[in-house]
Amino acid sequence: MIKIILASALLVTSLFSLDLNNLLNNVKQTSNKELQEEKQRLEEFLNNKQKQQELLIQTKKELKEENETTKQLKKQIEKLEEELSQKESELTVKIGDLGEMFGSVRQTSADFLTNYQRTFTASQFPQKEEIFTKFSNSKKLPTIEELTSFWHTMLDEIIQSGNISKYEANVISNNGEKKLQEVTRIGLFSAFSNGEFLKYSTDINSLIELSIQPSSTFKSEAKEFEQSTNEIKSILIDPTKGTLFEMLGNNPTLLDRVHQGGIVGYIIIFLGVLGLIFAIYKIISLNLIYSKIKKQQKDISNYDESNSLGKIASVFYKNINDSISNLEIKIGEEILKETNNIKKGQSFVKLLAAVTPLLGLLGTVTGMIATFQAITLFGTGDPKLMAGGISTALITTVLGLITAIPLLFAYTYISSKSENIVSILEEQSIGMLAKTLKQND
Amino acid sequence: MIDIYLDNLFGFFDKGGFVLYIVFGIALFLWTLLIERYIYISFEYKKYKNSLINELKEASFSKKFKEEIKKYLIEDSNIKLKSGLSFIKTLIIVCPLVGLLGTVTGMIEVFDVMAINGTSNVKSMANGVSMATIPTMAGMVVALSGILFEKKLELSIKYHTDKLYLEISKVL
Repeated sequence: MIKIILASALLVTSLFSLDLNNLLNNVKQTSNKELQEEKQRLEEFLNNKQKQQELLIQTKKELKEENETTKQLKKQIEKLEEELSQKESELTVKIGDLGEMFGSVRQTSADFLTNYQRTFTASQFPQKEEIFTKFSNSKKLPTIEELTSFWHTMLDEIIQSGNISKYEANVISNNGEKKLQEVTRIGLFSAFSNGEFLKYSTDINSLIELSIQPSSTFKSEAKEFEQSTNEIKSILIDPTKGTLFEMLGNNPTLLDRVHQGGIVGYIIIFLGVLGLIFAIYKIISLNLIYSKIKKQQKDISNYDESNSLGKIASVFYKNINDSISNLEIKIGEEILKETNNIKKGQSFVKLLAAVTPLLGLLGTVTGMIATFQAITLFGTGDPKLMAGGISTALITTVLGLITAIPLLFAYTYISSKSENIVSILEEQSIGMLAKTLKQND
Repeated sequence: MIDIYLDNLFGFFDKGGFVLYIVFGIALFLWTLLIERYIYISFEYKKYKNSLINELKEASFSKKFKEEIKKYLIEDSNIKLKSGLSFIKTLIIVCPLVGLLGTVTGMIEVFDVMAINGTSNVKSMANGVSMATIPTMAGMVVALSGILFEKKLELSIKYHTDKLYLEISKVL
């Protein structure tokens, strides 16, 4: 085995020695070739050197030229930039003015819209609202035509606000019906239809009848005004554009006032009515008695026992031959009966006349108690909370006085009349009768 | 000149409100009655007295009833003199009451304004306050002026009655 390996090794070495010679030859050959090529290249390079030099010079020249143009262009750019900035600043100045204008158009339009929506003209020209809304909401710049139309609409609105005009419009009546009616509008102040004053509601964009109308004289004036043509008529307007008319609804009516008086108020009214009825009854009955006595007084010898004086006369004539003191006693007895009859109930009227102001005072005090209750609970900050008690206090006082004053007059009348009758009966009877007696003789 | 005073007067009435008109009416009524009484006492009554005394001179009455007749005549003339006097008195009593009514209605006005505007605006309340104070003052003034003359009237009636008694006693 080793022999074989050795033999092969020897074989390989012999083979290599053979190849190396070959390689050397080969290398020598190639290096020769390369040298030759190198020589050739050097030659070529040397040949080209002159050409390169020329090329370099040319390129440098070109570079110089290009640099120069760059410089020129830079200058141009600077110049143009300067111009640009100038123009830009010019533009900002010009745009600034215009932007302000459009802003003010928008603002004016929005202001005008809110004013317009609240007025009566909105019921006459509902299409105008669109124009104002468009301007106030638009973000684009309006054109000249649009601006002109805006201006014209504003001008028209101003003119309309100074006009009296009649037109057809939807009116919502108090019972909720919607009807197309002829409406007369006076500027921005008032509008009415068929004598009913109207208000304009922005919520539903429609005319509504006022729930509480001004007094009937003003309503009839309004009706006349609607029918008139080219005449000068007086008419009620609301210079606050409806605020006063609305406040009319808050104003308490007479009945509301009476209710404010509370229980004490009702008692006073009850007593007052009772007293007045009684006083009227008393006045009538006293007048009847008085007229009968007057009639009797004219012809006393012809006495009639249906009246007080007649009764006394009958007593007098029956006892004419008695002594004077006896006669006086008998007549006095008769007079006492009649006087009692005449003066009956008189003090009741006086009592009521005295009691009603006292009740009014009671109401005042209870009202003030309620007020102070409110003050202890809520403080004095809000006067409206105290208003209830105060109005009770004041209304009862008013009611007390209002009932007391006529009752006082009635009492005076009743008492002076009955005093008159009694004095005719009491102090004059004997003298009067005696006088007629003598004259008849 | 008169215009200025008239303007002032109307302004005064406007400030006082409707109660002032009532007071004015009462004052007018009161003074008419007072003046009527004075005129009656100084003219009509004298005529009446003279005719009464002439009548008595001619007539003859029985002695039994002389005193009674005298009483009757005096009472009769007293009624004539006093007619309307109690009404005058009532008017004088009522005047301050009406003034008080004005106070209260004025206060109601003030509180109405307060309920709407609150207490901040004092000027708006001024109207109600003048409505409250002016009629009260006017009522007092009318009542006081009335009382003075009414008392004087009463005194003069008493004087005339006493005088008549003496005159009748002379004749009868």
